[in-house]
Amino acid sequence: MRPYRFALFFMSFLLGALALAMSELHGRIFQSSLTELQFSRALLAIATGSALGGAGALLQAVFSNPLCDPYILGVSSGGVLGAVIGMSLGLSIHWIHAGSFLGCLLFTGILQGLLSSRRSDASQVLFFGILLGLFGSGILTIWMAVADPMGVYGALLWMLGDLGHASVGQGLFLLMVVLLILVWVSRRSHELDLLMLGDFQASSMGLDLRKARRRWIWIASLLVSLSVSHAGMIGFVGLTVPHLARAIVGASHRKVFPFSCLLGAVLLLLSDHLGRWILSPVELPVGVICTLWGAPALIFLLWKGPVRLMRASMR
Amino acid sequence: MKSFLVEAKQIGISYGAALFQQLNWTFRAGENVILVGPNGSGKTSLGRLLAGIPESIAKTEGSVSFDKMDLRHLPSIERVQKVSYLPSDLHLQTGLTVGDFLALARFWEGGSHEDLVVKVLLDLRANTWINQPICTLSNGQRQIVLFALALLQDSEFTVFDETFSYLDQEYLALIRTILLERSRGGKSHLIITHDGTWSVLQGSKLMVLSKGRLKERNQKVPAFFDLSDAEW
Repeated sequence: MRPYRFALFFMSFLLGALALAMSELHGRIFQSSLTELQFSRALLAIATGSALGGAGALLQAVFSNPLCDPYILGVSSGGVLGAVIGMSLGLSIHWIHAGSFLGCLLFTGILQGLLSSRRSDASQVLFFGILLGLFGSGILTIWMAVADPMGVYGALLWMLGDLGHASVGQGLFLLMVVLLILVWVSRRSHELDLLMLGDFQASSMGLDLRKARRRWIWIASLLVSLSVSHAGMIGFVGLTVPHLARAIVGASHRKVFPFSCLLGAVLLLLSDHLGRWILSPVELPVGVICTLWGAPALIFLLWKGPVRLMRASMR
Repeated sequence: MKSFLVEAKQIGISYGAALFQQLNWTFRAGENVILVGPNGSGKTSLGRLLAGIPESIAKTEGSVSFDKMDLRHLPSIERVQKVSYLPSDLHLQTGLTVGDFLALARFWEGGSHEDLVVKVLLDLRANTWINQPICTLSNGQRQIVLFALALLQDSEFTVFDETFSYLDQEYLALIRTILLERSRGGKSHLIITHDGTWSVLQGSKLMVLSKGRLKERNQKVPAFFDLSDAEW
């Protein structure tokens, strides 16, 4: 898998609206346009794909629910709201990223506040998250009704996901932060295995459910916030990648978590290439590409049998 | 032999209507208690309360303590080292293998405890299942995995709630031997069951929970209890 991942990384320089021949690549590798537009894009694809794949695996375990995706807790709604507020105010892209990140954190804070005030089981927490997301979408809809069409177009693009708005520095920073989180999570993956057993079994085996769930929701929210604030809402990856990972490496999160991150990065990189190549020079949003090829692929795998929701290693 | 005392004081549970109230019960180190009672009498609710993990929808009263330490105030990891609860089945939607699952028994210590897991599975003649996903096991096999979990957790006091209901006579005999050996070492067990043959467990005490009352029954009991009103 690893050589293929590196091949995709380098292919990202060659494909897209500005196609480059191999001979040109060597000469232009350090030129600013290439560095800014394509190197940063590849970095962002890897960081975002890892974050979404990891957050999906994490949340499916925390709620012992195969239908969880990184956006189920409504945190991303805060991110989109933050971004569109930034766009309405005419802020630069960096401030829009910051606004989106703050929006995510604000919604995470609200969710955590709801959790601290009452004893909540997994389904109750999920319900809180879904309601929070709907509330955010409601506000966004009101904004879209009164905003100018260009603003609405910008918001729609944000909601579909776009990897073209980060600098190399941001891409590297994001990748570093995501990698640090992944290392921390990998060392505590046994908690994810316990949570996947369900509330009762995890609690009877000695896990402090309340503390563990709050901790993991913070971590998942941080991964989602980093991803949404830099690349918008990219669907599909976080929902489906953990299922593919479980089908390949089994159900233990010692393997599922890092593999979901790796697979998420590869799939997002691949989708980004396709999005830039299919209708070149027009670029299709990476979120749309992910869904268009990913959904039929997963339906096929589920239908044929190698992938089973939350049940792996049945081979 | 290590000594300890599990004390339940004035405990009660209600789900709207009270299931039982103001029960007092004490367990000492090395004790084996068999708890029987008709369906709906509150055996599982009582077992979970004694293990410090009452059902979230239940309204509880009274306190359960281990050596004067209230279980509600003990950190979860400390609680499970002292008192643990094993259900009748593992309702797992995951493909975790037996080895992966049992490695979680002492998760707070870190590591996979592979040698210990293999040894316990060998003792239970189940070592060939180690790489098998739990969801592919039979009901009886899953109960043996649960018993292996109890052995690995090695709590001072363990509640087995119908944990042996699917096992054949050969496994039951093996498990009784292991439980007796553990109780000689100071471990205590509460076995919640409908199977009267458990009263053959040497030195065990038989308790009956019915209509909110807990009563010790010393007489020899038949294999299948008659817990009709007439008997009370």
